Amino acid sequence: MLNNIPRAINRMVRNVVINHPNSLNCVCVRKVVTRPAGEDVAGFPTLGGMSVIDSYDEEQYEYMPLGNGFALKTEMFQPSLMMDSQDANNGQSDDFHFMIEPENAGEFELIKNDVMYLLIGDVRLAFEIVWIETTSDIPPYTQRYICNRRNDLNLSV
Amino acid sequence: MASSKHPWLGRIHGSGKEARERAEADKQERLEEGRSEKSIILNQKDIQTGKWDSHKLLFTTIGGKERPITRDDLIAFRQNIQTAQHKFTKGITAKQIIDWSASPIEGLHHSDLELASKQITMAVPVSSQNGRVRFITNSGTDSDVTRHHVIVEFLDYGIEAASGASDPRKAAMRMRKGYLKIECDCGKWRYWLRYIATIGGFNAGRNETGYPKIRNPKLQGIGCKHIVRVASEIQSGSVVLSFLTKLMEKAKAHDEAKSVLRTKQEDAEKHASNQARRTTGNDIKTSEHKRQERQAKKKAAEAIAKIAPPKKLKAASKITALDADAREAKLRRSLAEYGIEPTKEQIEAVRNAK
Repeated sequence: MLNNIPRAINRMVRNVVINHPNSLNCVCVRKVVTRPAGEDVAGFPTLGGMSVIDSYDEEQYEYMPLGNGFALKTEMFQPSLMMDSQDANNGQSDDFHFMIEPENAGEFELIKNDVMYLLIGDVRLAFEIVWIETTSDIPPYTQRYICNRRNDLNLSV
Repeated sequence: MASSKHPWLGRIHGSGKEARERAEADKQERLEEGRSEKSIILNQKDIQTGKWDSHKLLFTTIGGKERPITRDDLIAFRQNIQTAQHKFTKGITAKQIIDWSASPIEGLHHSDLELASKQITMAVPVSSQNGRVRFITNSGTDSDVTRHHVIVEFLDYGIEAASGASDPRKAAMRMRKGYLKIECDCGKWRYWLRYIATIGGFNAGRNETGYPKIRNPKLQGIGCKHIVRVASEIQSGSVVLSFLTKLMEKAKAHDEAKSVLRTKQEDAEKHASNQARRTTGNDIKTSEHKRQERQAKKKAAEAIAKIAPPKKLKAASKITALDADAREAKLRRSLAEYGIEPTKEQIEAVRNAK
């Protein structure tokens, strides 16, 4: 019964994120390892070759397209350094909190390490989801995504 | 020094004297140690002959523990010398300095690339005489001095300066990709790396003939963290490019292709401030890192291309203005919110957008 509360919140969040004037279009992709799985060790899959200590280090991988969405930055504003030209602030933190909604409801579900590209004109700004947090303690929860910038993946059309 | 905005940078005026004094002190100490009866320096003659005075008690750390040198060690040292010399047949480039500094020297925990990325975040060219440029870098966290002097000799200077064929900027761009000789005034360079630079033929200062039998018997590494930071600035820093361009302008205007250039205190302060404010971090990337980044970017772009354009483009995602300057300004404002300054590529994309 209580599950209706986070569900209702999520419906409202979706409405707000899609229609909010500050929300941006985004596109999401997921890194998947394409290396054929080796033999299991004690039931667990093995990692790649020498010096591969994390799935990050895998050489054989692809980015899987997830779909379009909308992203709204959510954190409260904190005092920030200004740009030299003093016409904008320079951001206050390395972590960015976003609410992200797929263009079509239920089209994809984001997980940790997915990459979200914000569309700003012809620039696609890459963010990686490093943590997922919830603002309510009731399943199915109300997700917010904590992202880090991935400047190395930024794209220009 | 107190009047400088950056305590590590100090006064530029008089810094040349400081660099010379440090080099002279280093030279004197080495000379005295070489002449001392208690000297434990293993020089080229000792390695070649395997014979030295009985008072010399020589140790090495090959094998992990400090122990007396044996005949087999000398054979290994000779082999290491040959291997190192073979590696540097043509000299050394800024790119090679970065690429070959990615692994820690045996016995040390951190690579010089890692230390340069974390600790040595600023390097400013302060003076130059012909192709010999002196840089000042900040020092590491545990250092007993505030700044270090790194000397870089651009070996292509003569060719580029004498050539009347191209403009100074292009000459500077070629020069920074060319071969270099290097030197630093820090202890790591003195005790671990100067010997390698000497036998490799890329040492810009005092030659060292004493084999680093205790600290670096396997002759690993190439440049200290200060040199790696300078190499990174040479490879991709705009300050170094403009410094070399000015140097080339002067050299090309001189009848004998000679030039002397000094950075003003206020300019050095400005460069240091810009480097201190870098928004994209101070990470120095090897060629392999860059290759992996290009590969990841390409794969991500391919994935995005498979997704249809959004049905509804939000107003906040649009950068629409008739004027290219207005579009660029809007892009700057939008990206500033995420602590990012647009790259040249991004600015071009927005300015040229239809």
